[in-house]
Amino acid sequence: MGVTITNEPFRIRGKDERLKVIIQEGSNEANVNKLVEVLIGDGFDFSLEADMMGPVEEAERAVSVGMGIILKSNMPMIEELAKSAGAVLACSRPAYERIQVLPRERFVGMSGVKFTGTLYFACGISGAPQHLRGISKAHTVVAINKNPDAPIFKNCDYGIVGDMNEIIPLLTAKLNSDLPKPDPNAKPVQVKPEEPLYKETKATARGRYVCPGCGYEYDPDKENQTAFKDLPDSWACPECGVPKKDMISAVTLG
Amino acid sequence: MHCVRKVTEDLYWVGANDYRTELFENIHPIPEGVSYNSYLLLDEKTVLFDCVDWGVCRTFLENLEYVLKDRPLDYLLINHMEPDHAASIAEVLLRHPETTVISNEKAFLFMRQFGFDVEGRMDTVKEGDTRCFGKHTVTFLLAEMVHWPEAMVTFDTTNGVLFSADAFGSFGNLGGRLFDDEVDFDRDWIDNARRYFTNIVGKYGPFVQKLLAKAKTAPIKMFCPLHGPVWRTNLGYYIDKHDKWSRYIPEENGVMIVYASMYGNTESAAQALASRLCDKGITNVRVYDVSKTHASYLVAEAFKYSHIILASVTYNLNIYPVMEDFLHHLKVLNLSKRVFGIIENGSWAIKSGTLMEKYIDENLKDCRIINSRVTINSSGNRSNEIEMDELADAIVKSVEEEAKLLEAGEKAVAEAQAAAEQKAALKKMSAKERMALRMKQRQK
Repeated sequence: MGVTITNEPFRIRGKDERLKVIIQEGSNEANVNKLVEVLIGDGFDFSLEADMMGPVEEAERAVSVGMGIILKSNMPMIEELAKSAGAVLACSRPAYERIQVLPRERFVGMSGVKFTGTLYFACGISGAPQHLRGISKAHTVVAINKNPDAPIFKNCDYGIVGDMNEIIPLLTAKLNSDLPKPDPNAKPVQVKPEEPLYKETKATARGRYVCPGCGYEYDPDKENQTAFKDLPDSWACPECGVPKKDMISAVTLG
Repeated sequence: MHCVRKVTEDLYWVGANDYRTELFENIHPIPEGVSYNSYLLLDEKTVLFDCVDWGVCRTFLENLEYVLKDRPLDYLLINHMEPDHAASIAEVLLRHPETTVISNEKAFLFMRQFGFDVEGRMDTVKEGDTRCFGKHTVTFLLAEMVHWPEAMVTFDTTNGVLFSADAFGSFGNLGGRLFDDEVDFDRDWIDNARRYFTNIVGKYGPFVQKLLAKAKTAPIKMFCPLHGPVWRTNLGYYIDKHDKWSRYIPEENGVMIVYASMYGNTESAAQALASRLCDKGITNVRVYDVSKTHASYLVAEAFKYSHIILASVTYNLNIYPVMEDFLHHLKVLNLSKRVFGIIENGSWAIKSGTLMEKYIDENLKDCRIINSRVTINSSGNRSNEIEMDELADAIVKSVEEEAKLLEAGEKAVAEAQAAAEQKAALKKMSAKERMALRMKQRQK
């Protein structure tokens, strides 16, 4: 049974808002076809090319490999995919530390570089918290992993459960085939969406009142949202007994 | 040996300077000392306005006796009961059994609590009461929570002197120079004054605003505060500073970077940000090491600048304790309306940024946090260079926006204040005067 995939309108996606769609079309090939269809639907154009050895921290797309690669000698498969996807090469920390698939400046994660571009293929990467720290600002994360319980599936937008060594050649072939161009009306996901400048904060002087007898502050947020004006006239400062009428607003001009 | 100054006709400064106390209130360092101001009025009756800290009582008594000569001390008027002024009350009363104490009900309560025997010699006053000492008549205005609940200020309606208690005070010893026009206040005193206000009175902005509104209705010619210089020339300058501080409006659109660094990596990040900001044209930047700078200085700077960037290492999965302490100071002193930026560091689990954001979100009123955050894992790397550029760009953008917002906001506030004053003035007028004013406005 396949999960219905709708074309997501373009939007800013935070790390807590991953789509977590697992593509289950039956076969590896069907899954790969569906994935490519969905990505094109989202506005990704796979006719674009990129230098696969460009800096990861500045890249728009990355094909990143984890311990699922097993041997360094399997890397040409990854390079083919990167070439087809217009992506740079990257890896996880274990893939760098243990089998040195790539040089140090290409491993992504808390202690490595951060990928902040639009499309990230996590191939055979389990998704440890340290790795996720390195992709929290990526727009779209695609996960390919044979372990259905790998944490990466809870932190990706699109996932395919299966052996990367079988799936990646299929994906490369699909990307190299004659693909339809993205819908010109779909906003292309080529530019990193702009974040708003600020986070607003909760704490505010609005609605609060302060006591002239002791400085106590009445905060409706801590009093079941009871507005100060709705308190009974008999209300008095809990610290010093000053009557309600003598309390003053905590709001200052400007 | 006496050390006194004439303030104005009939009025003398008989206070004392204190260079020996290390920590004011046993918290705030005062390397430049502090003065405890006490004033003696020689009218038909003699009136002493407040006393001094116990540590300088001997000098104070010499001054008092010198100006008093052989006259009796008729009244001791107490505006504020905090022991840095009130501790010497007992000694004055012992030496002058003839003295009557004038103060308000709450202050008398505090006198009993602190163990001063004033029974049978109290004259209790309330807001708006007057007392005449011959030529001079004074009236009383309560100054609740500026910064104690019993605080009041006393206005001499004869010569326009406001005995302003802890309002309009400052750290710093006088060294002979008593008046605002005898010092270069904006160069030599303002930092002490800001540090005094923000740390001692900062929490009580709404009450300071209430007092400033009250004071506007009186024709004040001179502030005689309990610490620091007497103001007789440039009162508007000092009122404006207090108005801004008590509304939590920054004096300057600029950036304060505070870092908490164990081995220098977070420090490097703070310095790197400062350099980038200067490169991009924002040069009103100050960098502070939270571990080396006493919180009272950091608090004062936080009140001064519009933007505060916190750079902290993660310590035991928490905010670095000294940085957390600084944030706690900002919270209890009610710092509001600031823009914050975050740099975090950690070697295995980086928590400080999220925790600092949470602290600001929950505790510091009407603030905003810049979204771009720099996350360092032990030491800065290439990704951090990009994040740092993004943070610097965001700060530049924010500083530019804030400049416009501040200007527009202050204009609106000035209009609102003028309207409120006009309304208050109208209230005071008789119906006939009001009518005449309206006619005049219509003709215009």
